[in-house]
Amino acid sequence: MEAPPAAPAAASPAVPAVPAVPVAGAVPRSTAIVCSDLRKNYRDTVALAGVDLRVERGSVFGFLGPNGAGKSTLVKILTGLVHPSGGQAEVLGGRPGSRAVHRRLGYLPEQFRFPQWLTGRELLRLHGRLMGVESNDSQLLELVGLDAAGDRRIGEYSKGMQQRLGLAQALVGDPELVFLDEPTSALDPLGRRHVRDILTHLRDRGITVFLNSHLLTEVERVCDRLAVIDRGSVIAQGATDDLLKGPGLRVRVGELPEGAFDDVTARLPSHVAPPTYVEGVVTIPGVAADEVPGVVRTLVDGGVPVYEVTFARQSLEEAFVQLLQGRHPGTDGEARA
Amino acid sequence: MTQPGATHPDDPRGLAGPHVSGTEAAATEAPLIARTCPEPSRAPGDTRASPTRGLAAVGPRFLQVWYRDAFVFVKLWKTNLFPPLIEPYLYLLALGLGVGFYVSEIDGVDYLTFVAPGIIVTSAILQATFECTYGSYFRMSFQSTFDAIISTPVNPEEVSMGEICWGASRATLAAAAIMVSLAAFGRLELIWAPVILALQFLVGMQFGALSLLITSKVRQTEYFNFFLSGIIFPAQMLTGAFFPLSRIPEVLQPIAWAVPLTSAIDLTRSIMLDRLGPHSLLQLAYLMVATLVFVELALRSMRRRLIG
Repeated sequence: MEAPPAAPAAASPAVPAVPAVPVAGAVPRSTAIVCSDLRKNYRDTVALAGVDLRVERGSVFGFLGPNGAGKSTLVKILTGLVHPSGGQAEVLGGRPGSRAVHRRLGYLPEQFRFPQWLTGRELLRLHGRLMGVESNDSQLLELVGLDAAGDRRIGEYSKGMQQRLGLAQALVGDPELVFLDEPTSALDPLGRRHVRDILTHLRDRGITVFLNSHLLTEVERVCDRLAVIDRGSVIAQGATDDLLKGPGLRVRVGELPEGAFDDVTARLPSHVAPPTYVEGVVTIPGVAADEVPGVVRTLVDGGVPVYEVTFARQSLEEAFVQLLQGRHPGTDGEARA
Repeated sequence: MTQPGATHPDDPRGLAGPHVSGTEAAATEAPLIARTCPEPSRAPGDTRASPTRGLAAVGPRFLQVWYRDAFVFVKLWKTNLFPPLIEPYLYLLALGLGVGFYVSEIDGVDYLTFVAPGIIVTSAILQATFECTYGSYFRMSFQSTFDAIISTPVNPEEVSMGEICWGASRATLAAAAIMVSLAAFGRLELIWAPVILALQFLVGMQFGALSLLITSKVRQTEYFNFFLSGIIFPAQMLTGAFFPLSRIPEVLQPIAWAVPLTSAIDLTRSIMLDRLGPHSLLQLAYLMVATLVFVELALRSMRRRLIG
């Protein structure tokens, strides 16, 4: 086995950073959101350091990043709640925050609370009045699975039901673009599945969904495109399938002897992407099926206690951790989005 | 594997295909910067896309914000309505009948008659103040209600105006409640009731706006204590609500008259005691100007708070 130049996994992100959006280019009607060199400073703190982003219409777009990476700032700029310090942004062909855009926009804030003594239906009707439309509350309640609970007080709703009601509120007025900030964080698995079905339904109707979520499994399952932001910059964006490497090897291992990981990394074939180690699992992307025995032998010869070997596609969590390990030395693989 | 960078241009999945016309394809030559914030997408009266600020940016949608507040309030009418109704009655009993028992006459009338306008106005401003401090702050910070509203066609000025008008409505309700009992005691001629209520709405707007201005500046509710203990409560005591201004040191009297609340109380008293005169017009003008100034300041400051 040829030994490539040793390169620590952390220094080579598996998903390369890309220059996301060409500064000079077209903004066709098929594009829902375009950001170009978008910047935001809060006094001495740089929240966005020149974000380039493009979201196609009719897609479910996942937006990921560690805490404090700038996710909420970007969503607030795009919904007109924060002024950018520089750069350009265009939403549905107009200026973020303009009334013309807001007529076609839905937004579910991250930390919302509803008046507990209103009913779900009343809340949707009140929001319809604010949107200046007749609320299609019965349809919306049915869509989010609250048709039987629509006339009950919100105080009697579970957290998950309130979150689904928030989703319904964001859909009042048939928006073309919906911003959802952590819409599944309080949901149980069944609730999350329900929301996934709703998002798929919205995509089928041609509605663009901008999904800000830290639940990577959800994003991986439902989003057809995604972007990762870190320290105010988009470090990767593209189709979900393209961002996830695969197939590859996932190897559950025991405690690694000191230096074993670097030693094995150096001895892997040169075309294999650098492996990562996350919570007892070594992931080696880009391994072909006929290379598996050789790679496993390399691991065992290198002193790695191998317990289980799976041939699988990289998960979004692994891709996410790989991306961030390259930028946050010392990150132990904790997946934060 | 396709590199993410290569997936970029418009739509690798073909979503855009049917939508991109020849004209749009030709438009690819145009620089992006020239296409951002296109003017044609700006709707008439779109205040957020123009530099219009303050009162000039308020359109009729503020009524929907007012309606939302009122609807939520009425849903809890038992809890919301009774305490504000009972409180002025306690004042009336304590000051009018309690203290009034020891005070035979003040300013040419019995004490209950003298103090009634003061109780009306102070009850009104307290309602507006609490609604536009704690109430608005709760909706703004804890419920994210304003964020959800501003993402609709309602703009920040309309949100603020709706809040101020709702505060003024609650002030008017409180005033109306106490006026009912005053009428029963024979201390109020009902013919003046609409005028007094309209005046309380104006005073409610003034204090609602001042309170919202404070709300736009604070980062936690504890700071409201400074406003309430440092401004509102002393103002109630030193603006002629419960005793004539002539009783405070002469050197402080110009300061007391500079506080618009003094004019509000004196004007309400003039109406109720049939003492209107040219000075009443001046007082009304002063109240209106002060209200306009506070509203304008509150609207501008809230915009800065809501859109960072």
